[in-house]
Amino acid sequence: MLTPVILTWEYPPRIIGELAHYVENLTADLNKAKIPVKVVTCHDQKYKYEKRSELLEIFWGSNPVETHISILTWCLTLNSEFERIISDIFYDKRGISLIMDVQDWHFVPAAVSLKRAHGLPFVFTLHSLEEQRAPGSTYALSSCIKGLESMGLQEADLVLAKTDQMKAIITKSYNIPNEKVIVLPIKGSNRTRNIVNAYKLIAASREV
Amino acid sequence: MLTPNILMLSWEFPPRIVGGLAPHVYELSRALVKKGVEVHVATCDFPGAAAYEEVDGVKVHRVDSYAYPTPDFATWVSMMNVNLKREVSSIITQNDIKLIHAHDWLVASASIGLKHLFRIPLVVTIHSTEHGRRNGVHNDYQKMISSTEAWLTREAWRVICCSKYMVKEITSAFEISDYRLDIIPNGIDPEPFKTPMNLTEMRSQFAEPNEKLVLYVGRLVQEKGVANLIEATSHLSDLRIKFVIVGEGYLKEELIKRVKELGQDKRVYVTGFLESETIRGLFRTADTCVIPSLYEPFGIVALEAMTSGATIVTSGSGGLGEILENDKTALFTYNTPESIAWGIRKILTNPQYAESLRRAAQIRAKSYEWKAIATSTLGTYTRVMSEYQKAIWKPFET
Repeated sequence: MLTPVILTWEYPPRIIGELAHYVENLTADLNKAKIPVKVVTCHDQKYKYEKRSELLEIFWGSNPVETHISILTWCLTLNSEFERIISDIFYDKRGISLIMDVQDWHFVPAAVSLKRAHGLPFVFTLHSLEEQRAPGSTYALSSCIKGLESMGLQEADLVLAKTDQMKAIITKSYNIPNEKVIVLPIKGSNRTRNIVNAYKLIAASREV
Repeated sequence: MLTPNILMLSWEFPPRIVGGLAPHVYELSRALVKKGVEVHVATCDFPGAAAYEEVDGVKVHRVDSYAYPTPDFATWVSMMNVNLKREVSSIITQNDIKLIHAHDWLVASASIGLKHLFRIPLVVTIHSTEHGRRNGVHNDYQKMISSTEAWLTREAWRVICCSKYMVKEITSAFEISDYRLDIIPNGIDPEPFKTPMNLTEMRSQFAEPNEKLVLYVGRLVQEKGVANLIEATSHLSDLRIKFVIVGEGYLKEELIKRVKELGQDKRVYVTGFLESETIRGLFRTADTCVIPSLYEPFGIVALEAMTSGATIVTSGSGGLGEILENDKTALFTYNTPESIAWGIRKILTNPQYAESLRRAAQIRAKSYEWKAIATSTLGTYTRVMSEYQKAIWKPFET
């Protein structure tokens, strides 16, 4: 059974920007299509598990290191906790075809580790690029985030971009093959169906 | 299965040498290989060093640690761990690695991530703690490191530390039960200290024949107490002495400035980095070696001095007080310039007393040879694997 595992740094009630609502809508649409979804996200409190419905499980990971000096150290440490959570899912759910869908750059390292360790494929969904948020920035924090985006783009099985402009940056600035990047407008018709097709595509390529 | 293939993670391994971790991991891994254990070491890359090589049977994998730009050291450490995890997965699967041995917080997130990714047990050596190095944790940066150390000890199946002093420090700083801790001291390989060399010629580069040579070897950082030794030099102006201060660290420029202020720059050489062979020669020809540490989890420099036959003046702080014994194998002083100067004077003006300390210390050093340390470490591995075999936490295939 195909089971997407969505890695996101926000999911309601943790709402920082639009991403929380986007992922919530995506999980609802996937569930409507009878596709079970596991969301791995973060929480300030101790790790907990929540089964919101028969088809929707939420795994709340908390940062094992209490104090941080930046979003980067916070995020990169939390990646190890995501690796633990998803490895536990992997070892407990033998027979299920897990596909990771990584929302933006935050949990790219975990997805890469899990892909290398377990062979789990992953889709890298980009809502915006650092180059779009901070054009031309050479600030070190920005450069590091661009590095993580680059890692995700290189290692992902498939990249989902929001716009043609974003795809152009990905293919030209990051040297990613054109055919690896699919443009799915955020409010486009059939977006969820196209996402499911993308999941199936990379699952099938792995099975081959 | 009870003597598993081991993967050690360390951010430094020769030729990348930052502090005491590199020689420790180097010697321990070699000694384990001699006992028939397959040991892999995953570490940071270093200019000119091979991405993969075998060093005396140890399989060394160097991972590109500078692939992505980072804004500061802490973020670099985090990204270095990301890179380690990314590259080490294939090492684990291709070499049937059954146990991970991590050294210090710098490789915490990679070690913990790999532990869960592959469901193999993690042994951790805590060489020192942020709490101890900084005499408490005083800002967010230090809190982050200390919290990372706590996370690493929580995740470890067993924790190795080098002294009773460190057991106390770890149990109080991290609220870990002492039944999960093993004390295994650091070791020493005596052979390089016996290499034939022209000691007279080597000594003449630092001191005249009629001058005494007082040696300090260590990082030039606050916790090593080297500033007190610099202050002590002005209390010994009546003796013909050359003080040789070997090592690098953030205090270096400040110490050089202070030497000039004290008018001691003709007698005190702050040499910076020196080759290992030169340092071993200095240990063998020094009239006394001063170890004035304020914080010292173990004190490997003491083993080097003892093995070389140097007479030691020391603060006896931390692990030094377990390796050395006052008036038997070393002379203990207080952590003040006056007391250190008193100790140096006593050694330099009482050759018979100095000789008795030197001989006793050299005999004591034999119990710290690496083959004994490797045997103890293997004992920890065997215990962990035995417990792991009975546990339910395992990957699919077992």
